[in-house]
Amino acid sequence: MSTPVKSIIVVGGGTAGWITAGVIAARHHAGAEGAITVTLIESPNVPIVGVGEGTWPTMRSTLRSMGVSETEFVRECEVSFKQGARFQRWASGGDDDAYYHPLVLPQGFLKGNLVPHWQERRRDRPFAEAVCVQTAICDRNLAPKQIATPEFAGVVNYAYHLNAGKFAGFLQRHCCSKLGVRHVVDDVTSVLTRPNGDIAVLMTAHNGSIEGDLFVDCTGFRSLLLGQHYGVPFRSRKQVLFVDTALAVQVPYQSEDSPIVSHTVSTAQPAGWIWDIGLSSRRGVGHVYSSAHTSADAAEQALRDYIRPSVPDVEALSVRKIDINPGHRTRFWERNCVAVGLSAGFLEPLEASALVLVELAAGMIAEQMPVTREAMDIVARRFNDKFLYRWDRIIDFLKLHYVLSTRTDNAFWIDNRAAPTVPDSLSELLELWKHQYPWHGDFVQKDEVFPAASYQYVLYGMGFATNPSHLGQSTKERQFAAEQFEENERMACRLLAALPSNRELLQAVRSYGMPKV
Amino acid sequence: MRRVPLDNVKHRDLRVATAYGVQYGDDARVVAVVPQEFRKLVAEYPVFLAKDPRTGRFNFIVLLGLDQEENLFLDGPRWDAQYVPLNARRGPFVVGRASTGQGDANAATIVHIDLDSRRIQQTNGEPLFREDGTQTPYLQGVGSVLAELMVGIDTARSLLGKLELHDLIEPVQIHGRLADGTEFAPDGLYTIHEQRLRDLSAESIVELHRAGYLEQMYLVIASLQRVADLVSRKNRRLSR
Repeated sequence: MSTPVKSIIVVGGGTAGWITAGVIAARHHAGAEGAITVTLIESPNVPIVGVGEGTWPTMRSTLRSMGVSETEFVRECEVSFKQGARFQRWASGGDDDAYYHPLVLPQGFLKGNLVPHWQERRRDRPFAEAVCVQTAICDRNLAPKQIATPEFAGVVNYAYHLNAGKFAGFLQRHCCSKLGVRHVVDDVTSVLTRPNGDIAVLMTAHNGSIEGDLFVDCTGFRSLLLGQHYGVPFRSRKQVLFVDTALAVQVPYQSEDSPIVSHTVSTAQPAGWIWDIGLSSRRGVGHVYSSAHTSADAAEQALRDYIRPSVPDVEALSVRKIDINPGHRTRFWERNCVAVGLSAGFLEPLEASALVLVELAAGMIAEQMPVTREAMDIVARRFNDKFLYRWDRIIDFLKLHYVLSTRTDNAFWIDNRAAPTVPDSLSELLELWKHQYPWHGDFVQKDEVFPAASYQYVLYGMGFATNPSHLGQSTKERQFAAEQFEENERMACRLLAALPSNRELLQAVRSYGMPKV
Repeated sequence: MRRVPLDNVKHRDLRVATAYGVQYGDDARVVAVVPQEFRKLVAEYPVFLAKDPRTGRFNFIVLLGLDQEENLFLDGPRWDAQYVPLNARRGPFVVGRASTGQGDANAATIVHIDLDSRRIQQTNGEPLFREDGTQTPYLQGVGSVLAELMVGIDTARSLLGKLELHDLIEPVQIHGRLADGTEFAPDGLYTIHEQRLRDLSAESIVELHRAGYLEQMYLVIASLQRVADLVSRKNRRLSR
C-alpha cells in the first residue's frame, strides 16, 4: 500500500524558508481541493541571518514562477539591478588590477569560442570588454533595462541586490495571501518519529503537534532537523576555502543622487576581500577574512579604511560580526527531511552562491515532489548526488579566484595556492586549460551551476594564458570571431545611448511601475 | 519645449499655422487618442496601445504609417481623412495647471502654449485674440478640443486600468509586404487579447459593459482591420 505525500512542513522563516514554501506552493497549487498543503513554522525568537544581498539572474524566473510582481518586489525590498561583479586587486593586487565577471554570455557563445581569437588579436582590451557589452554598461552605472521593458525582461541579463530582511517579509506576505501557505509563528520544541525513522510530528510550544509527510529544514546554521535530529555529519571545507569570519556594515549614500552601482564590487584584501553592494536605499559593505591570517582588529580597520572616503564619520558606523564555518552536510535529504539554505551548508559570499543554491534546491524539490513516501527515497538519493556535485563545482569555482592570484603580500594568498588546498578536480581543469580553451564539453552536467562562460571571464580576467594550439584557427572561424567583435561594438553604441542610469530606472519604477507586458 | 500660460496681452499678436506639414512634425508614425474618439477613428485608423518611453505606461494611439517617420494621412498641407484625431488638432496648445505657488494639486486647469512650436508665427496663420482681447473662433475651437482631451485622458486611464487588471494587453506583431516587394514590421504595438476578454466571468463582462468599456475594447479589436487600409494608402503612394 502506498502512502501519499500531502502535507509539506517548512521549518524556518528566513529567505530560504519562504522561497522554498513559495516555489512548492506555486508549483502545486497549494490549498486547492485535493492539492498538497504547505505550512511554514517560524520561530519568534530566532533572528534571521539574512545572508546574501546579491542574487543570480535565476531569481527572476524564481519570483516569476511564484507570481510575484517585480514592481512590488523592487519597491518593497530596497532592490537594485545587478549586472555581475567587478573584482579589484585580486590578480596582482595593484591599483589598476580589475576585471569583470558580467552576467551576459560572450557574443555568439552558443555558436563559437572567442577566447583563441581574443588571445591572438584583441589582447589590447580586457577579455570581458572585448566579448560583451555589459562591462561598458556597468562602467557608466547604467541599468540593464528601460522603464518600458516588461517586468522580469531585460535588455541585457540581470540579477538583483536586495535587503534580505525585507525580502523575507515580502515573500511571507506573498506566500500567505496569494499562494495559500499556512504560517505558524512558534518554536519547535521536539521531534517525534515513526518506527521507520521518518519524522511524524513536530511539537510546538503553543500550537500543539504539527503533522507532515515531508519536512524542509530551513533553520539556518542550527540545522535543527537534518543536523541536530538526524545527526547527518557536516563536512568542513575550510582546508580549501579559508574565509571564516565576516564583518558587515550598512553605509548610507553620500547624497540622494549618488550613482547606484549596478554590479557587486569585490576588492581583495591581505587576508580576504571586501564586498560592496548597492541597494536602492544604501550600500551593504563587508569584509570576509581568514582569522588564521589576520586579526579581527586589523580586519575591522581594513573595512573602515575602505569605507572612509565615502562617509563623513566612519567610526560611527556599527559593525556586525558573523562567524562562517565553510562546508556542507554530507547528505541533504535524509528520510522524509530535506535541508535547504544555511542548514545544508555555506561557503562564503563570493559569487553569491547561497541564494542560488536555495532556488535550485527548492526548484528540484517542487519539480520532483515525490507523490508517495515510496518514491521519496529515490528522489532523495538523486537529490543528494546532484547537490554534492553542485557544492563541489561551486567550491572549485570559488577556489579558482584565489588560485589564479599572484599576490604575495600575505600568507593568505600563498597558502591558497598550495597544492594540497586545491581540489583535484580544479587542478585537472587548470592543467587542461593550459592546452585548450574552456568550453561546454569540459563539464559533466547539462545544467552546471557555473557555465564555461563564467570560467572564461575569471580565467582571462585574471591573466591566465592558454597555449595556442598547433591546430590553429580556420578562415571561417576567424571570420566568425571578427563578426562577433564587430557586433559587440555595434551593440555597445546602441545600448549606451538607450539605457537610463540605474538610479533613474529605480526612480521610474517607484513612480510608474514596470509594465506587465 | 517652453510651455507658458496663454495670455491675451503677452500673446495678442501671435498667429498659429493651422495647416499640416512635415515642418510641424506631423510626420510622426503615431498619435495619441482617447476612447471618446474610438467610434469615429475605427472607420479609418487602426487603434493600438503603445508605451510612453519615459514612463513605460500604456497609451492608446492610432497608427498613421508603416515606417518610423511616416504619416500616410499627410498629403501636403492637408490631413486626408474624414476625421482628424484631437491631438492632431490642438496645435501648439496643451492643458496645464495654473500656478498658485502653494502646491498645484487643486489648481485650475488653463490653456498653455508651447512657444517653441514651429506653428507659431507673426504674420501668417490664425490670430488668437481679437482687438478687444477676446478669443477668436479659432482659439475657442482649440479650447473645446482641449476640453474633450481632458475628459478623454481620464477615461483612457480608467480603461487602461481595467485592461491591466484583467491582463488583457498583448503585444502584436504586424508584418507584410508592399506592392514593390519591401517588407514592413512596425514594432512596439499592443492590442487587446480577444480570447481572454471572451473568457472573463459573466460578472466582469457585465461590469465592463455597464461602464461602456466593453464597447471600447471591441472597437479597438475591430480597428485592426484598418491596417489593410494603411497598406493600400502606402501602395497608392508608391505607384504615384
